[in-house]
Amino acid sequence: MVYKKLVKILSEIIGSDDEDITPETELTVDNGIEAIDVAKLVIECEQCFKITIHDEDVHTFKKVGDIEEYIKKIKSDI
Amino acid sequence: MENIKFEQDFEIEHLDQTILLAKKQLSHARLSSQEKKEAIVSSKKGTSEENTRSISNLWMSQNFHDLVELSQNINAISDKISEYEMDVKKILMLEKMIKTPYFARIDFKFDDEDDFEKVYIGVSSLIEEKTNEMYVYDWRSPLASVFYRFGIGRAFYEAPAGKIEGEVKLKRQYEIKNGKLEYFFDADVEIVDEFLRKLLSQNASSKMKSIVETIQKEQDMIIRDIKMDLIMVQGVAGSGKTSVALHRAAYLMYHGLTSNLTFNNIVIISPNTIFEQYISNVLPELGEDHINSVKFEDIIYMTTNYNNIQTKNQLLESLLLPNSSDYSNIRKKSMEFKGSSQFVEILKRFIDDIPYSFMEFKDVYYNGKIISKRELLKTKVINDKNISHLSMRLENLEHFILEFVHEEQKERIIKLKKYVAKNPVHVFEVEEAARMLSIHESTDLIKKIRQITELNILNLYKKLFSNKKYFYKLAKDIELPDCIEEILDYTNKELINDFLLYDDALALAYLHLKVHVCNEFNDIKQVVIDEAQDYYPIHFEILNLLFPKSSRYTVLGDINQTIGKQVNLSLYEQIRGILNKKSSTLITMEKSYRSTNEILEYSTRFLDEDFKVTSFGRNGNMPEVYTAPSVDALDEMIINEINVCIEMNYQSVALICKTERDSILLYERLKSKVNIKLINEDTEDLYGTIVFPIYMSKGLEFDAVIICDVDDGHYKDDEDKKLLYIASTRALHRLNLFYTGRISKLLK
Repeated sequence: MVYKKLVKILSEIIGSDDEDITPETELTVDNGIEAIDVAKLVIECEQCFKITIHDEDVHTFKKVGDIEEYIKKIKSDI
Repeated sequence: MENIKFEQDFEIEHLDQTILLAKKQLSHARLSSQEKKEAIVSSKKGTSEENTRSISNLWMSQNFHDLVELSQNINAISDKISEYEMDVKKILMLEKMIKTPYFARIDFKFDDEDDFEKVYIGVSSLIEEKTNEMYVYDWRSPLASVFYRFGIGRAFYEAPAGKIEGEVKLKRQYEIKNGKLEYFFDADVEIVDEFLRKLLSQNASSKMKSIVETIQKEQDMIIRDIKMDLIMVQGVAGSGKTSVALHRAAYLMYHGLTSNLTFNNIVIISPNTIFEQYISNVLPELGEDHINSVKFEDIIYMTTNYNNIQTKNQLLESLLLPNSSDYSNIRKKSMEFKGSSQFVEILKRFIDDIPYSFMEFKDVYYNGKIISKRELLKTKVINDKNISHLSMRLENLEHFILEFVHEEQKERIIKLKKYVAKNPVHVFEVEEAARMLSIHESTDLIKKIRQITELNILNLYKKLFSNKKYFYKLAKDIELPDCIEEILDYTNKELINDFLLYDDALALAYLHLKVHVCNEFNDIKQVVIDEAQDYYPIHFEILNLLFPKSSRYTVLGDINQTIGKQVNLSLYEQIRGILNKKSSTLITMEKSYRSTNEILEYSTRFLDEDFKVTSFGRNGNMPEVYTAPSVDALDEMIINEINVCIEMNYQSVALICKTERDSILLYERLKSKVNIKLINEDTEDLYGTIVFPIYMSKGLEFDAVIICDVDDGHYKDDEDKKLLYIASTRALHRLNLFYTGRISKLLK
């Protein structure tokens, strides 16, 4: 659930297909993901999943799977 | 006479019946296991076929019933798999039973009954399923303990229901191999030794033989004592104390101290890999699965996460080589000091002092103001005394600071948005741009915070030695060795390298465990430590931190077999003090089962006082000392001796040298002339003729031992004496010593 929504959000932001994104996809310029895209992603995720993402944690997201884990953790702690 | 024939016929008949039952159960088990395997496969197939479509339906329609059915199917499969695995275990056990179903029998009459029952005792139990008749009792069961504890006459055992009393009429022991009854005899206390003699007169296999059958009374008491929190055993070489420890582990696993004891709950701390592999046979033989076996170095790697560490063996090798005596002197003194309780106290004070002396607290700025003043931060860490681990306090501190940050964050983003809106030289939307800036800021902030809240323990440890004034201040009122200045200088120099010396690695491990929380071993219930005489107080302090306070310890040692340090019986008092358990006891085992009378007698000349070692009555050749005029001649003599041993059908022949370097040199010289193996830490098997240093041979035994270098260059002082004691007590049947040059004065 989380993963699917996350992928949808990200693919819309960077203009790619859902299938091109995997949990291992790194959040780097090489993959077409810039700092501003990450910011957009964070904002969208907060709205979509109704959570707060702390800015000091964002730099620990190295790949898509990391964000998925983070969101899942917040949701389970609530 | 006729009686014996009658008994023999009876026993042969009984053996055949027992094996028949085992075979029947085995074929049932094999069949049932095959069926289960097929059932699992077909269930798995069925489930995936039926449900691949359904899974997507589940998400859409949220059909609860489908979900339940799916989960039930999966549970049924995993149940089948566990059943299957249990069957596999059962099959292995039954296969063993068919070869050797039992090794002893007692005839026991319960007090409230009239007749004597024949109780057969084996490595695991065998029950006739329809009638529930116990064909064979597991040696660890309460009733079986009567065999070990009592002779003919009154006896009792502890069962869950209470104390069960009765009488023993017969004690009989069997040697059964491959389903054939080799011999049996009726035992009272004396003849048990005879049995042991028979067993030991055979050659040792490379793996330590399971001596379940030969556990003597005293050993049995150690094995079955589940109430003691700490059992220490001072056992002479060949007393079987290591076997005892393993059997204790097996027994405790079998019974469980709490209802939840599983095989994961026992840790054995053993000195080297050879040893682990050597005893790997004993546990499966006893019918148990694996136990967690760990070297102390593994503990160090795990707690410090640092790999570039000197091992104990490397330290020993460096101490044993004929270095400048200055070098080994300072290394020894350094190890002794850093292993001591005094140094542990210094480390404790050091950790308490870190927040005061080594942490740089800074004001934390966010959104243009100070959200946390440094004095407050420092006070918070120091006052958080309820939390013992510094790393936890620092984690709390981080959360504390971040709470303020999070409170301010909305405000901050609003400010950033205003800033972005005012400077329209950008292509991004205001909200995103502001967020991006905030993320950037926060990343910087957390890195700054972590400079305060994350400790580099190795760097801190180095500081301890680079600032002598601080060290002495910390060590006020603590007794320091005379050569402390030298030790400080030496350590300070060595710490520049990446490679950590063994004693520093231990200190680092201790510090890590005091600072960080370690949950790795929280369900350990039993700790078994072998060769305790080689450990220092700091080792035991580390273990105390690593394992739960409620865990029970079995500590084995032999003060005569220390390498690199001097030790007496007060060692056990020290250990008792550090581990601080509610109930503890020290047992001494003086009977040596391993070597012949002559070898044992010979080895005692290397002991200091009249240390009591009683032998076991087996006779053999007197050990001899041979001299050769040159190295070449020495090699020839050694090769000769090896050939003699092989002719006498000895399965394991050990060439023992003082150091690894010597072993390698010897190996190189001999390898083209005779079939020998060089042993190092990672070698797997010990059959045939092998070469290695004394310190790797501890705890092992061999049919024949050849000590290759007893000249006065190699063996001079008291420590060397101990080495010779260790080396000579490795031999079961044959021991000879060789040298070239001048004979060691220790042999005169």
